[in-house]
Amino acid sequence: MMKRIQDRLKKREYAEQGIPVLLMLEDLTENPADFSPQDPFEGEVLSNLIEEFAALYEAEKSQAEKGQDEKAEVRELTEDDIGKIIEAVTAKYFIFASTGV
Amino acid sequence: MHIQEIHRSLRSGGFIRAAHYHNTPEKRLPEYEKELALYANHFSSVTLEDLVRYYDTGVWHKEKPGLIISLFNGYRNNYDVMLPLLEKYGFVGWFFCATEFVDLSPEVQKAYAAEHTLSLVEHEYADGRYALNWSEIEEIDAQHVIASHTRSHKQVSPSTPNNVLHQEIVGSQQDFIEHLGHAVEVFTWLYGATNADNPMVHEYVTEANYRFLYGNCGIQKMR
Repeated sequence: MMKRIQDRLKKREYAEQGIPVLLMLEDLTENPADFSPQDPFEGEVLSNLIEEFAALYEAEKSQAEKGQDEKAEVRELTEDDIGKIIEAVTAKYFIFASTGV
Repeated sequence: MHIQEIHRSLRSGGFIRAAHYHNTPEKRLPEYEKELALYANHFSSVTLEDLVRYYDTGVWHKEKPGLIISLFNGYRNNYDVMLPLLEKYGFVGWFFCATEFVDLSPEVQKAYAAEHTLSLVEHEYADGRYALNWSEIEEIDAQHVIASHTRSHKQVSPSTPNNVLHQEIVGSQQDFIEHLGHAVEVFTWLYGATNADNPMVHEYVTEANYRFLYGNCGIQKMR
């Protein structure tokens, strides 16, 4: 499944197409405020989707790496992998979570 | 950013949506219009003040969720094609400009772009000017967010020399001050590198007085 989504993402023309993303907000100042979700359901849904996509991605990656080398160790998700997972989730559910459609 | 931090941010409401654009050529205008019309139905525009307020209070104060429309590199087609659409649909655009690209005369912009991973739309402008000029940036600055995307569209790495980092971060801010008469608040690297990607980044971003470091997966508030 992840491979199918990734293949579809690869066809995007990043130089000219609008790419929806989710940006995590990090406060590096001394006294950051706690965020209060506008819609708690939305964050929960997105988080669960990312978890599901990450599990699929790890499984497919592990299979691919072991296919090349039986003794290959499965690496942890890199920042690049995480970026791809968020992009895949966002591509499918950018508007969904806020509208319930 | 670790995946656990992403889960934490999503569950706590500490996230915001964005749509990233680079070139916005006229041939794709119907596609952009369709997207912005759809976004206007579901999301609210985000100004710099909205983002500051969100960080300060932890509460998003508009009825619809916020959506940042970001435009990278400082392309002229952002002004010609996207700016009218943003205004038609009530969005504030965040224009991330590489200041050296903007400073160049039209006859050298194409060659410069090829050497600085700036993709251009072939034969788009007969006069050879593919970058925004400073008077367009000044006009955009009145209603939208102007931000730094380095000076020369440079990618940061742990081995980037300090003098180069300084030029890209502080030098770019100096360019904005010289041309706009004020500092800009937001800085972004290529490919959304973060504060953690080079130990000197924090020091120079602080020196240049940027408030936000904008990346592919997140926004870091620095002050």
